[in-house]
Amino acid sequence: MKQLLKRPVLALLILLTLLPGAAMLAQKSGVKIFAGFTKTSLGGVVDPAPPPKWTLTSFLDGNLQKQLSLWVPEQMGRPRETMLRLNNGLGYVMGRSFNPDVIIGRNRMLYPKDYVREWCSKPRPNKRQAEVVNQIVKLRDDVTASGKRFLLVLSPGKPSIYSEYLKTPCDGDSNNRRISQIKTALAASNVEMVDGTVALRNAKRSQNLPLFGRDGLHWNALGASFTVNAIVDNLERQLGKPMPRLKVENMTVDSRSPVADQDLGALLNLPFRLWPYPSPHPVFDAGKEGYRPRILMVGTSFCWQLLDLMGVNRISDDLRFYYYFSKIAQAKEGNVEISDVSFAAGKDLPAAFERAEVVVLEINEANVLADYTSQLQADIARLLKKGG
Amino acid sequence: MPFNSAIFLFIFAPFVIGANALLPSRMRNVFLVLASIAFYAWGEPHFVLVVIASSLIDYGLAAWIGRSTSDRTRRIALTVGVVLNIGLLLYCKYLGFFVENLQALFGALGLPRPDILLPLGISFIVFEKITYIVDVYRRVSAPARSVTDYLLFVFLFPKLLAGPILKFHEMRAQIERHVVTWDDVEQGAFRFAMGLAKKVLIADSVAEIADQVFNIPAAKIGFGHSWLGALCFAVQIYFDFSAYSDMAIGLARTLGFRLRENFNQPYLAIGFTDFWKRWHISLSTWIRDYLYIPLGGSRVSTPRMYLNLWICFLSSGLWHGANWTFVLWGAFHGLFVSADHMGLNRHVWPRLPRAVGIAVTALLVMLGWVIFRATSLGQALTLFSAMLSPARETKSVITVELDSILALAVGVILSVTPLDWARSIADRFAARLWPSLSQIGLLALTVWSFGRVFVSTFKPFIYFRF
Repeated sequence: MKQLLKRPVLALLILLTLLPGAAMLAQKSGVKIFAGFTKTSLGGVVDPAPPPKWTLTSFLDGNLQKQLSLWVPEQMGRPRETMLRLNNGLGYVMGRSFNPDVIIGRNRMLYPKDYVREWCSKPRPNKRQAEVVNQIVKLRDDVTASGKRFLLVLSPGKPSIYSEYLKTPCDGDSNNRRISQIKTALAASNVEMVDGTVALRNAKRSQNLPLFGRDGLHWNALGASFTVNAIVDNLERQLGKPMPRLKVENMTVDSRSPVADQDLGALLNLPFRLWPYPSPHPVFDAGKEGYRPRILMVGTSFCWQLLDLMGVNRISDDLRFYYYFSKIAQAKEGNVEISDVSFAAGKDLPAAFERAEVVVLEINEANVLADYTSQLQADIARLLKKGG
Repeated sequence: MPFNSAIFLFIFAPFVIGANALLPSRMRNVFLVLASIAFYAWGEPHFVLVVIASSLIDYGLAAWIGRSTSDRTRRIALTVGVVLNIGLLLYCKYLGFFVENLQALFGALGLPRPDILLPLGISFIVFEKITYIVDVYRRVSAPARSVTDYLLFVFLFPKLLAGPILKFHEMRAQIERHVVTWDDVEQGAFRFAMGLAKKVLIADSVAEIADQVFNIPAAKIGFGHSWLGALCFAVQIYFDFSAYSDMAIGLARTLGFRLRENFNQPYLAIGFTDFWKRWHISLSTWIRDYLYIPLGGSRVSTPRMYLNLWICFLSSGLWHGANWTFVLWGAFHGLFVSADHMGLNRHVWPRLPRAVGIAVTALLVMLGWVIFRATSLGQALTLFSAMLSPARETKSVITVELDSILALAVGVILSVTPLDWARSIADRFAARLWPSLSQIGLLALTVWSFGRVFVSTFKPFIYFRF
């Protein structure tokens, strides 16, 4: 021990090497006093590695080794998290993301990789794409045949609005992307649509505030508000009644972005807070006048902002939202409630569909072939058939 | 179990180093044999038995050679030992290549390509096993004192998978008198940390650029990219391989063994002969001692000497991998080493300014790496063609991050800075502080490297309020 004390840097190096293993042992011991040492708070969802199966067969075929290689690091608690964050922080300073799903663009603009890939790709029409178009047309036909209005909302990916910050530029608009192909096909069938990309690009030209958080995947409240007003425009026309619309009553801009606008940043798992950038905090007033339709909305995570804006500002007094046609959220008379139960939407559909005047289907341009469109169409078709 | 994996760094290595240091001296070798066999079995759970069996045969043959007084018997035992080892290597590494070329040469012979997975470290293991039998035959070394000693020589895990290639007579005394001191642990730990940082912070970062360039389709590669790719691969392969050697040497030192150095700033070489005295030294000395000299070396007629050189370099190329690109790479080096012998060493290199000699050699070595890295001779030719066509525009986009550029810059600077000179500067201006400063710097790099190691263990998905 004396020898080790004479070598303080070596002692630190040994400690550093032993800490992850010690955290693992502490975690296995289950002693609560070690919780601060073993618990981690890394952002993002992972599939935990299953515990290894200690059999001779699994060792001989190499599976045990693979399982251990995945499982052991996950047990290394806070030391692993700390070192991981330090590395990620150094990477971020140099413009490198260590999350393969997140790209750091110019001015530290974060992009989800899938969205960039979609923006830059030149896809050929495929069978599934034709199916989605047919399903949306059928859905529209079924909904309108029931005396309700139908509206398709296309939400934009970040690269569609802020492609200029991509380090490796590409021109998605000239790529005839899948969303463009689908849009053309749906327009030919006269499907009512609101294109969020158009709404946000117009807004970007007319004002300087960001419409997506620099560190977020989704549009921010300001960005979503332009789409809400485009939805209102469309529904006013379809319903033949004036509706309340969002007007900015007050706007503050500071460097405190809402948590929802930092979701991509959280996935970088940095050791420090993300560097500040201007974040708009609009306060809207939709007034008290106008018709507030009952809406059933189905879509992706881009709908959370729509739900908040339309619900809290009472664009609709009864807005039921099925997240990926799975989880249910409800905005009623200015209050928003979100259920924790997944896969409940299908059972809830008959009553909600019956009550709704308008069905809004939102699809995101990077996720146009998602299954929830098919599920919704099939369930509504079944419901109407049953009902006679 | 790669050295840069979490399970090795934080579980296996601390346990083995700690236990080895704490165990009584007489138990250390047995413990290390078991730990090393476990290390190898982790990656090769089946083949480990072959290596154990083959090592026991070596041990028996060497004991026979040691005991026998008949030259004929000794020669027979040597031949059997060498043939068995070379046979193992040929079967595992080259049989598929041989069959494939036979098919290409004589048309469809209906021979199935044998489905043999290349066992980890086979080329290193076999070469070391051969040194033992040959050294005992040459009476350079007596047979191992015990099976444990020999198995430890074969399996010692720090050098098991990628060298340095050891010779039994260099290790014998250390194995028989196995001592570990705090100095060993300290020196070894910092050497290992340096290797880890070189691997994960420099080699892996630069590899990202090299991989992108070498994956560009032939028709799209341009002048700039081809040179960038060649430079990046030159830095990558040096920092990757020398990092592995640093880690192996450092680990072995923490266990009480001093391994030979394997690299000595190869990109400062002047001429290819000098390069091979600095690059993968343990391989070049192995080839010299166990192939070139037995073939007659330079004590034969001049044409025969060149033939010997070419045999050595073609074998060296093939040793690196069963592919014609490696053979061509070996020939490329053989050509320039022959040129050195023909007169470059006497008439050209000494007359050039030192910096020019280094730059020309490094440039030629870099061209050689293009052949080495290419997946086919066709790709190598395409890259050379692009490198010689300044007007050829790149039609492909590669992503180059700032940290990769920095890693490349650091790699180039470290490759061409004479370390002796740097050390003397450090000694002159910070003689007292330098050892502590360098250790603290290495500690910081180690934290960073550990973080980088953990990156591959954490890949979160984008989930939002699901």
